[in-house]
Amino acid sequence: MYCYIYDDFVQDRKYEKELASIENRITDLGLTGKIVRLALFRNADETIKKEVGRGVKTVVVVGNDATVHKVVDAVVDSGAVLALIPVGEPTVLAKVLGIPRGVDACDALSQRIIEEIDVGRINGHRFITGVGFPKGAFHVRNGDAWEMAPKKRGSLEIRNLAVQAPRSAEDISNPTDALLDVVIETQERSGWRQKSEETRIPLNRFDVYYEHPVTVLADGAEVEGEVFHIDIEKTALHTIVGRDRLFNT
Amino acid sequence: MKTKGNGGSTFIASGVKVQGDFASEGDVVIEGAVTGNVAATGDITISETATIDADVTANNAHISGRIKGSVRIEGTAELTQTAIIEGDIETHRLIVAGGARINGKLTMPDASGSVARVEHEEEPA
Repeated sequence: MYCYIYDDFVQDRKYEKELASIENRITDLGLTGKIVRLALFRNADETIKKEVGRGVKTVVVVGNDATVHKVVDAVVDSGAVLALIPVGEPTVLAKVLGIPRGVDACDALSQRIIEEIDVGRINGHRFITGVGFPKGAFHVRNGDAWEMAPKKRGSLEIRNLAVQAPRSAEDISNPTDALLDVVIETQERSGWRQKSEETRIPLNRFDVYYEHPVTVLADGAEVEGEVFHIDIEKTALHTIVGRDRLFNT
Repeated sequence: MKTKGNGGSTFIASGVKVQGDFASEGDVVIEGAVTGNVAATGDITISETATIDADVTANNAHISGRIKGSVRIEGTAELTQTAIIEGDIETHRLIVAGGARINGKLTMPDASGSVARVEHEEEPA
């Protein structure tokens, strides 16, 4: 049984035609299920838990990365399978999972290739793709063992898969190794030019400290703080992937 | 709190400094500054720009930077011409390029199977 979660923005007129095509394809493939439309004050968690209790096995998100972020807690806690039909932007998660846009996503849904992937947590908020931090003075601390900081200002990303649309395979982390990649980008002078360098360390539990409160983006959703506690839940999420998924396990 | 490696590389670029004891279960490449012990179950590469102020332990090592501490390598330690080690070295196999500097005691525990070789730079004609 399927439950379809429509984000409120997909109810905009500009998505009307795309949505109609998707719904027709779902009917053709015999994958119909209950449709739940998210609204400003509607809590998706309770709805999903209720539907899973009634026998729903697959929660299909119709929307973008931020839509996934809204339902990930309920999907992980309920043990349901997550599926995506990407509509709108950004859809980094769908790209990395190999799910095509629009109608073609319905075919990936029917093929039902399932992977178990890790889920990250930042200050208790779950994320699937990763976390983007603003440029600034920060340090990363691994318990009492060590701490690391850029010599000058640098940027920081935490990757379970990829934070931005990946440019190459190196930008995609393995989401099944129970590790998050801490990636610090710094600029170094090379002759007359500045060159970009990337520090990359795989960790499963660590903290990030900023000198003042900042807003970070976890799966495109804002999380505010000055100190961030980050860890990982190993293979906590069952998700449908496409044949052309970009990550290696 | 335990740090786990995935067998993939840890890379510390020259624009980054680390303080404390750093351990990895995979390979490690260091271009930056580390103040504290470094231990890798895999191979370690210490680049020309790297400085390490403490002890280094690894499976194999390729050293071009500066280490102020002892170096303990299970397999082969290879020192290039820019390497500077101010401390003792313990390794089973050692390759030293001309120009490398070692100020410390050298121990090679398995003498029967070890090879110590010094590669001299050729003088220009």
